[in-house]
Amino acid sequence: MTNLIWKDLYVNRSMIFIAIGLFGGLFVFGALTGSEEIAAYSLGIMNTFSPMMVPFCALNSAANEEKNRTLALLRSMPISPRTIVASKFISSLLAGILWSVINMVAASWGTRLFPGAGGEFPPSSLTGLYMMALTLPIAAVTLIAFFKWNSSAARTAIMALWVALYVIPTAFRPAGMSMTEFYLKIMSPTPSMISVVLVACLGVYVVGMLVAQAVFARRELA
Amino acid sequence: MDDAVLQLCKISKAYPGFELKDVSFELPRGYIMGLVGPNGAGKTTIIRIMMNLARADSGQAAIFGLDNVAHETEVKRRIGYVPENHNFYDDMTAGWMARFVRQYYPTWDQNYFDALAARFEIDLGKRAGALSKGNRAKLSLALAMAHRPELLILDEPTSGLDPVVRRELLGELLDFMGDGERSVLFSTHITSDLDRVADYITIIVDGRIHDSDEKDALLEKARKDEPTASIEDIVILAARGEK
Amino acid sequence: MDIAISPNNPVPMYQQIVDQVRAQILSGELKPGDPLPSIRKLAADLLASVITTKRAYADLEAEGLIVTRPGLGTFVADLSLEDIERLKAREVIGHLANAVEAGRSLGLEDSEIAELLQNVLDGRVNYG
Repeated sequence: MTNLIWKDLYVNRSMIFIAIGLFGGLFVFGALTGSEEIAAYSLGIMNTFSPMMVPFCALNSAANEEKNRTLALLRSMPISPRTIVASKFISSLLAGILWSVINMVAASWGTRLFPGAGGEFPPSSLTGLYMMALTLPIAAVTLIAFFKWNSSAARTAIMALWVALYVIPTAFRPAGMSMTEFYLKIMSPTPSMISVVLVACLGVYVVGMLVAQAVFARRELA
Repeated sequence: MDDAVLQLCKISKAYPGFELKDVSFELPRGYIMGLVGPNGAGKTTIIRIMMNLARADSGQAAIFGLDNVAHETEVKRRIGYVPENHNFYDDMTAGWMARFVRQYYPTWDQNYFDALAARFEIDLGKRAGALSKGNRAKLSLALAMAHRPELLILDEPTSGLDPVVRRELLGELLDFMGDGERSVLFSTHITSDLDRVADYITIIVDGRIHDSDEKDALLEKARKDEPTASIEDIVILAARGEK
Repeated sequence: MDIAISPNNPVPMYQQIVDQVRAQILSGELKPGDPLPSIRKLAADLLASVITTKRAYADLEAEGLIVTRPGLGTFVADLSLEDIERLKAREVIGHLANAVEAGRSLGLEDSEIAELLQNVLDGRVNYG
């Protein structure tokens, strides 16, 4: 399985490196030069990138497999279908965790350097992790769609769910609260709420993996 | 048959527009069997069912005496499989493909792979996607043979290859058989490949087994009527008979 | 071993092998005691099937032309000069018997057949 995980990470290497290099680099530049704007700006981007990492890594590794038609190759080797599925889930999650760690390090560094920094969305060191966790169910559904059908289905799933991620919460906006206030509230959860979200989303992710495994084991590859 | 590496027993599978019905045959250890039939007869379907890439509606397939579904991973460790469409990670090099594949086969012999790659003249540093069709076929074969599998399953291994490469491939297969411990099953609609090297031939027409016997016996039977009958003639007659 | 076989020949491939090996033994190309390739090696060299070469060797062994020594391999049998002469004679007799059979079935008298044989020996006949 390590082999497969490594391969999927390799497939996503550009995205991972560019994200770390570009955005992380920008932040480091801002921090080292003492520029609050640059630091806050880059942290904002890093946070925006957080919800993209896991689903995109999942979709990318799926698309790569489909482009090369290597699912059939893998299935013809002594690798259980469960392992094939698990490796995609794990590699995407690892990419997300790696990104979250970097995000958190940058965010806590930033908060120490510029204690008063604000803007509309104050960089909490846990925001990145939180955003990443929220997208775990999206990645799970994306992979389920891939293993059940193909990467086009996965792409459709990701688009639809992502839109939903941003739109559906609005339905829960309490009357009397403005959109801005509402989003601020969602984006700055308490640490206990973050733990709940993390555990719940991870749980959904694992369940998604089990579903994908069951689905793939029954699938006949063309 | 006691020492059969492959035993198919009444395998049936229905697809819309095509049906595999009661396919049964055996391949004894140490021999080459050709699976022949017209295009669309069901050769690839049978192979996919053996490899558990498709599931039979009924019937059993035993490889090395083990059920191919229940013991899928164990069985696949001892099989070398070359599909009709060679799929690699096209962005990676041929050498990388070997390093990737060998993780899963405990009996992998890197020296043997290197020797095969040299003999086949495959540039291991070249991207798999950039290899010519012939080289892709050879790489597939090298990857399948390098772990010295007890059973080599080839699906149309020579289609699309020029006659020179085809001959080379057949020669490689015979060398591979070596000491009689290894067996080969290959499906083809190019029957001239089988006239020479096949020990056994199974003829499939329209999803049903028409005959499965020693090649020499089939030829002897056919040559009673037509002294120069070849496997191709036998298949053509079989195809006509079923219609 | 210099053998060429073809699947397109109406003669079965194992028979082609038997005939060519026999011819080489009788002509002296293969001498008594010479090693022969193993069944599998022969199959690989000729691009023939193992069952075919196995049968060819079995037939040759039945004729007494080759022997298989367990653990050592297959060799041309230790035929004495008389044996070889006898085998050559048998081969020629076989062909002659076919000729006699052909002549008789066409209604020729034995004396006519003998005369034709003499003509062939004298080189006075064109096969055409």
